[in-house]
Amino acid sequence: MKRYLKSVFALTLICAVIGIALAATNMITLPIIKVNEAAAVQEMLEVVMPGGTGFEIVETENLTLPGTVTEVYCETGGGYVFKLETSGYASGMVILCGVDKNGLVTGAACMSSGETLGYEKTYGNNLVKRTLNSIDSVDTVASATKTTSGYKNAVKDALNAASVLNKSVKGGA
Amino acid sequence: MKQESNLSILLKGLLRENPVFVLVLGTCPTLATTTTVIGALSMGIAAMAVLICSNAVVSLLRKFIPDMVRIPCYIVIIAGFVTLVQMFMHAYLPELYDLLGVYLALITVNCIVLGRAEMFAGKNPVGKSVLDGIGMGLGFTLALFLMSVVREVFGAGTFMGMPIPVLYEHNISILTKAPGGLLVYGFLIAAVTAITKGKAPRKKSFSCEGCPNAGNCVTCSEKGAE
Repeated sequence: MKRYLKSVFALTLICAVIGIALAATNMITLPIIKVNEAAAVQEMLEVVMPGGTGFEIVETENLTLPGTVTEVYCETGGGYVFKLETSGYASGMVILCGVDKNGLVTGAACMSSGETLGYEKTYGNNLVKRTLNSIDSVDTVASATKTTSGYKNAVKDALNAASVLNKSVKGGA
Repeated sequence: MKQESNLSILLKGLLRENPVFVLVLGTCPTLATTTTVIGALSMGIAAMAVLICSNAVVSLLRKFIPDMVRIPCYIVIIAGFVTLVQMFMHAYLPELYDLLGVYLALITVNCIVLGRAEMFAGKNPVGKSVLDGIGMGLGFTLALFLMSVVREVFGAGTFMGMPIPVLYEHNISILTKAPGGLLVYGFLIAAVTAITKGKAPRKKSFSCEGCPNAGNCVTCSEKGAE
């Protein structure tokens, strides 16, 4: 019995110490990671919405947007950029997708992911100028794998969210 | 039992007991991250940092950790250090963090790290365990570097992303793919075996003594009876 208790105590103590060390490190690194991510998003906004200016965060609390949409930016030309978080083979695939006022994809880029091959970084180029109706005909992002399926569904969510936002703007006007 | 000198502990990982080319451990990250030299060096240095820290802590706690739960304890320690390295890389080296992707987290299950904790750090003092971590880490990094140089230079015609004249236009692109990785790996193992003239550790060096299942293993008890 004493042997078992000693084993449980040792393992628990090691887990606790490691947990405290991780929490302390997280407190140090998390603010830096957030700043880096915000800077990367600002940089990528112009990539997924070429020619876009005056990006501002849109409050979406009163709107019913797809669950993958975590942030929305609007630009002066009437387009939107959506930050989406979805899952491929692994969770935590973050995508930025630009949609213009006509409902066309202006660009999409993968900000981070846990996928093994890294091909998701190139999918965005194949989806430019696609609409909700024409996006399924893109064969190079075929939804045949978990990564392509997650990516394409996230872009569809961005197109749906843009439609909701456009309707709400028209309704409000 | 003959005592190993500190220099021998440090240097054995480079060639004689190279974790990649001789012990054939850590094959997954070796094949996955050696398509570029920068990726390979980053993976090597990250794994070396984890190896040194985990070896030091495992050695420090070797008398405190009960034998019954030593493997879970080692895994918790290793996973903790891997997560620390991940957090620091994410904060201070975001480009390399993105480049390594999922393979950074997979250092936790890298056989080299767990193998050295079990075979060396769990039985030796802290100083020697740190030296072993440095030696094995350098050996792992060296192996990844050699493989990545061959794969990037001849497979993509670049070195650290810089194009090399002639090779850039006439590259052997299969080398950057999985089959090419296995080919290069095989040739480098053959080269190391030729250099060491087959004096790499023999099977008896990996006896049942270090195996976590030794107590329950039929083969092991039969060997003991002989």
